[in-house]
Amino acid sequence: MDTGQVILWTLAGTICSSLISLMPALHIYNVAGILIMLTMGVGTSTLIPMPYVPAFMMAMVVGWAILNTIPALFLGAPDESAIFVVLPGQKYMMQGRGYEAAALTGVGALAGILAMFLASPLFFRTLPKLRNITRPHNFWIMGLIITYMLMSEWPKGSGRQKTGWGRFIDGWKNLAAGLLTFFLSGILGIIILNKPLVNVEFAFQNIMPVFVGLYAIPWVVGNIFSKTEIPPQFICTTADLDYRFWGRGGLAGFIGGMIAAFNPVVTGGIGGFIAGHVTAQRDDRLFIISQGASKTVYYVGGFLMAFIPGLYRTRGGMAWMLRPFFQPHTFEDYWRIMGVIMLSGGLSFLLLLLFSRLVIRVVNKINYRSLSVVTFLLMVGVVYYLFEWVGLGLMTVATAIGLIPVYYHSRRMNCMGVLLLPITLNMGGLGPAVVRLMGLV
Amino acid sequence: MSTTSAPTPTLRDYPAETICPSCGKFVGAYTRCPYCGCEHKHRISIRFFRIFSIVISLGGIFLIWLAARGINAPLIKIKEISPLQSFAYVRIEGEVTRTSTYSDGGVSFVVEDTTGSLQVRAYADTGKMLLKENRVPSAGDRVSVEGTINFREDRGASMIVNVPEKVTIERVVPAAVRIADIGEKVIGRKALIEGRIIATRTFPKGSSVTVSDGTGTIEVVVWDSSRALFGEKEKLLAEGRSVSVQGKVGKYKDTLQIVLDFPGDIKEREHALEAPGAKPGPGANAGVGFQKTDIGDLNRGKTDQPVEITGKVTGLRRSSKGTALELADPTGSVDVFVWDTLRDRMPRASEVMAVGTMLKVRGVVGEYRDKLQVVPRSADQVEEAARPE
Repeated sequence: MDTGQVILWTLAGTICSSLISLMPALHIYNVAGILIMLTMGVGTSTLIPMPYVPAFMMAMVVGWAILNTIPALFLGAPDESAIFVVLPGQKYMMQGRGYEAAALTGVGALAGILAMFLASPLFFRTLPKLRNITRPHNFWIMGLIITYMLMSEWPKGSGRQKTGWGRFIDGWKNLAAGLLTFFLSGILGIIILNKPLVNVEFAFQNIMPVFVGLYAIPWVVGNIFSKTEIPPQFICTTADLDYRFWGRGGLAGFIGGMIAAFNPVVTGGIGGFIAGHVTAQRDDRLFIISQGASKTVYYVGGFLMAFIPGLYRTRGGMAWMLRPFFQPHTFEDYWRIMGVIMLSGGLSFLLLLLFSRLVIRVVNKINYRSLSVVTFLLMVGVVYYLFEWVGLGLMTVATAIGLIPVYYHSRRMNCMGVLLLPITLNMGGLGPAVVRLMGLV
Repeated sequence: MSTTSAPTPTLRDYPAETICPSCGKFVGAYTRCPYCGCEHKHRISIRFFRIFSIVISLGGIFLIWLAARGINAPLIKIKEISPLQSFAYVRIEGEVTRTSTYSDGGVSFVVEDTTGSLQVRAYADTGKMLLKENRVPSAGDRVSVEGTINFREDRGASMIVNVPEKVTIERVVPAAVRIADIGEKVIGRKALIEGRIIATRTFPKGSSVTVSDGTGTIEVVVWDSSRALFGEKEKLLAEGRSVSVQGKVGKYKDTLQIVLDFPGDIKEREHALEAPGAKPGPGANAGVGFQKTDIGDLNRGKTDQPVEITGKVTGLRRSSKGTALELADPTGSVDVFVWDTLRDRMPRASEVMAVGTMLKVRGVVGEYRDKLQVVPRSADQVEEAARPE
């Protein structure tokens, strides 16, 4: 394999994903899926030489994991994994410190990448064993994660209603919205995973219309109807940080990201959420660094699992998409991809700083609403092209479910019920009984 | 002198239509707020959208559910499966060529249609349900299977079944054949035989029973992974049982055999040949099914048939895996080959297998290096006989 080509495609993937991450609500997995469909229809790549496809894809994931902070902070369009960065990030931005917040997530991401590199020998030895130990217990582990996620939704009502019933309803409004979102998206997941509704030809992207509806469209719709204006931002040259903080935040994020990367169906948002609770970081700086590390370790580490010899774990959309075309086997494959991660990570951090400055400069000048309309039309167009009216129908229903957390102020993370519920039921051997109950047999 | 002043009106005291619903400032008769620019007329309550989102979610899921109930998985040819169809939920139809079961309860089988073959897998929970509902096909059965396509670059396509009902089987029950009629041409196909188990043996990954029907003998192999499923039917795999067995015919080291995968494929024969007063069980019917023969009457026509011979040991030859005894009676002599594994289980082996001993041997007629031999299959098939008066 030509090292020069590996570097070339790593740079290409990083730049490509950095541009994609600037488009609000456009997810890297959707773009990668379309790219694969356009270039690898017959099992071999026509655009990128096949041996370099993993490097290109990994660079795209790394770039996305680091640069998706920009739309989350400055354009109000976080994806599911960046959701927890927004709250303290917004606070920083309102104080004119948005650039610093972006930089802190970036240094968190670098800490996460460094931790993955240092932990590599541990991955080879412990993860295959850990997988064998946890595999029979995945059902109840997943059940606990779901229970924890649902129970930790807290009441956001004011509690100032005049009657007891009024206060009861006020208290339960958000909790009920969270439960409703989880179970509605879960039922939708059970249906679409057990009955074919979309075109078989592009089945490897069969869940795409639903994900676009649950996450992307509600954000874009929100952005179209709201006005984004950010206060003047200061471009700092130093960060309010020392190496001890960097290490602490990075380690906390690494733990959360690994929980998400290793366990089936757990996403970066859920991993970051658990890590945030486990490490109980009260300092905003620590929190932002840990979330930056967590989402990078989730996206990159999840994909990296496919390259660990002897682990045989496919985690994350990119790994599933690549599996039919490429299967890594050797330590050489692993270290090569680790090199790609480090090269792409360093470059992405520099691009993060560059693009943050650029966005701060232009965000109040560009018509962000028009950009959101273009993104909306683009997503609708792609869904229609691939899955026709059925895809649009699924997307519409998923959008309505995705809007429930927006209108009732519950967590969007509950939309992950679309995968969590059916897969956990299957792991516990209850899937067939539920499918029978729903008359889908 | 005291003065009283009227209370200053607050925004709450003004009529609602004079307050901007967006920024809350007093706008009087304006229909567009001079502060925030919002329209007062034609506004829709956010509450409407909140309720609308729930209604459309519930209604949409109901419609999707209705549509899903009426849709059947598309039938595809195995050759048509491409990497882009990974995760596709489809149906395939074809003939099962191989079935395997795993110790954790998982099941897999290979389906072949006119265009290719595909491995279908059911993980432990589904596999156990398939076994319980007798939905695991045997080799030769025709099946229709719905499942999710899984594609890997290094292993190609496979199908995962999650719901037992998605496996429908058209059982192929072959007509019973004589063991003597089973030949090379039926390899890979299903055969049904009826006969008596005349011997049993075990090997590292399974066990086998030798079935004789009077026309010949054949070994029926049961792998350990399958044997775990047999439960009560395990009793049928004992020497002396009269059974009917169906399974796929295969060949191992130039010898034909039948592979028994599932407990449903072995049954006790309704009209079993029982020895008078004998009880089923190991060794109980050891003599039944073996034809008493003079050594001189043995010939190539009796190959694979179970026989019982009596004679005197006139010679011994050791080989790497067993001992050949030359057994002679007044009509002739023949070699009796005793495997070391069988000898190890024989009580008083060194005394019994000695020159000059009178032996009664039950075994199957075979041929080795162009010479006939009788091969006993279990330790109690070699026993000392009373000397003729």
